[in-house]
Amino acid sequence: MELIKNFGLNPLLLSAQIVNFLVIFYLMRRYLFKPVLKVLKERKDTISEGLKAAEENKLLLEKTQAQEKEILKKAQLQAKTMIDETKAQTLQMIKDSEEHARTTTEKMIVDAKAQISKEADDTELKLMKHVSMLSIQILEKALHGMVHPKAQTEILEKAMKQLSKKAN
Amino acid sequence: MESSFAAEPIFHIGSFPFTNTLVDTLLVDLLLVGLMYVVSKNIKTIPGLLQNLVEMIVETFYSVTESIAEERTPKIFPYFMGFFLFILLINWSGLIPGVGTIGFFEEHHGEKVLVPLIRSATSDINMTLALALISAVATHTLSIKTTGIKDYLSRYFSFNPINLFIGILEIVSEITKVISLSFRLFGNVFAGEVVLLTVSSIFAFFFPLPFMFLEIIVGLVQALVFSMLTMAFMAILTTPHHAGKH
Repeated sequence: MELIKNFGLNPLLLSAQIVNFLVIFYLMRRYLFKPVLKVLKERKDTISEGLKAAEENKLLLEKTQAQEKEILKKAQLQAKTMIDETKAQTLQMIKDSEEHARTTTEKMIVDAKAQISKEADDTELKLMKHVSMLSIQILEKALHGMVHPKAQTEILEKAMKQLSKKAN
Repeated sequence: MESSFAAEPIFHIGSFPFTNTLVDTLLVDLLLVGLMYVVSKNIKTIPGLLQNLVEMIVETFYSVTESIAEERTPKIFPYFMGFFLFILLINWSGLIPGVGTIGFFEEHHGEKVLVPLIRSATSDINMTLALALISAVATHTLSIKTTGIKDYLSRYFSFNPINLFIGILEIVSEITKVISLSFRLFGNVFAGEVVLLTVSSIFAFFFPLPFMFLEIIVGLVQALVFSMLTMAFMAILTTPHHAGKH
């Protein structure tokens, strides 16, 4: 007891200090640690959410890049197919055009030949008629005064008949 | 100058002695309440200078608790931090000029003795014992809450004679924990005060400075020792008794 008294141990003071610490501890817990830990947790959550979002965005970017590659590959394939098809179509068109041009040219040549032949025939006929007329006129001038006019007319009529027969 | 183990009463309220260590306790309380008010009123997501400092300390202590107590950290951390802050401020309050030196003279065994108006509260056994008792009670309450009454009792009582003997030793160790916690803190702070008083009485200027720096470190270390031991005891007692046997 003497030792306790020397140290100044007093149940009233001991109780007062216990109550005091319990009160201050409650206040610290409620108004210091709780709000600070809450803020720290919020910040930690925000950071982890940000990191998670960044990770998700990274994955999304990778996925998009893969999709982009796939689409580009598909587009390249499609473009190649289209170019090939177009080339084939163009070649076919050229071939068709050439065929058409050749047929048209051949027909034109045939038509031209026919036209030329017809024109030659017409010219020949015209020329024959003209020659006949000239021949009659020459004959008329040659017979003038040499034979009787009646005989001259008969000869001329005969000649004209023969010439018209030949011309037809 | 004379140093007594017991805190000196300044005045009495009925039979209750209002001691100089109680004045120190109330001043530290005021300081803590002020800190709580400022921090809780100005807490923001983007912290200011004070909030940054408080957050840094809290986060460090939380990490230390987490490394030892793991999933029981939310329960144990407030005790660890609370004991540390309170004891640290009380220890350092004894180093403020005027604390322990400003007071009034009283007749004691025919001699005039200086009774300081304020004296570091941890140099009073009532304070350190109160803290040790709270630490012990909180530790055992947490243990019962976490592991259950059956597991808690199995730590101390068993039908196996060897385990029963170990249990009795455990009970004795629990009592000695309280004594060691309270007397370690009391002894260190009281001894520091005596050293400072002695050194100051030899030469009041410059000479006590190294000892004051030493006391700043002692105050910090003792606050850490008390709070870390409490945290360690809590972490041990909140672990299920048979968990380690598997």
